Amino acid sequence: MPDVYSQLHAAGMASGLGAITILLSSIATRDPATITDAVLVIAFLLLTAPISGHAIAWAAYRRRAAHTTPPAE
Amino acid sequence: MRAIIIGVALTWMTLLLIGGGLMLLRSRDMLQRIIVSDLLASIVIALLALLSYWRNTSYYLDAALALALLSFVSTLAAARYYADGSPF
Repeated sequence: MPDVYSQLHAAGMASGLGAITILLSSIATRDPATITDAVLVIAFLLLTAPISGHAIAWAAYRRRAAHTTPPAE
Repeated sequence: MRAIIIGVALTWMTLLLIGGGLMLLRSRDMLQRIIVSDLLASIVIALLALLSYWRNTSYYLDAALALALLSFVSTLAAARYYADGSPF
């Protein structure tokens, strides 16, 4: 991972594609209470994941920490 | 069949949780720690959803909703604190 923005992209994939598809698989349980709660969690994640990602990227831009590549190990 | 699929998914998410913990231990930057804590919160949300399917109870998803709310607030506060020196 070269910089903070690439790590932010990967973290957004994990939250947006991973967690939301696992929550979407609640349709297979055929339980109305489970599906309702899963839809609530999906709506909350879709609402808040871009906001927190924007806050992290804005912090990286403000501190200029993202433009320096860490040394390879 | 259903138990096998949920068991495989639970095992894989637990391995991802261990990998995220190792990444948190290896992080050298404050911002990287904020990103990894957000990632660990999403992994635990997915684990709670799988546990709710495994046990056929919907209460674990309420815990997942509360964890999503807490992780959102903590990530926002930490990022704003790192950017400005104060959360507000």
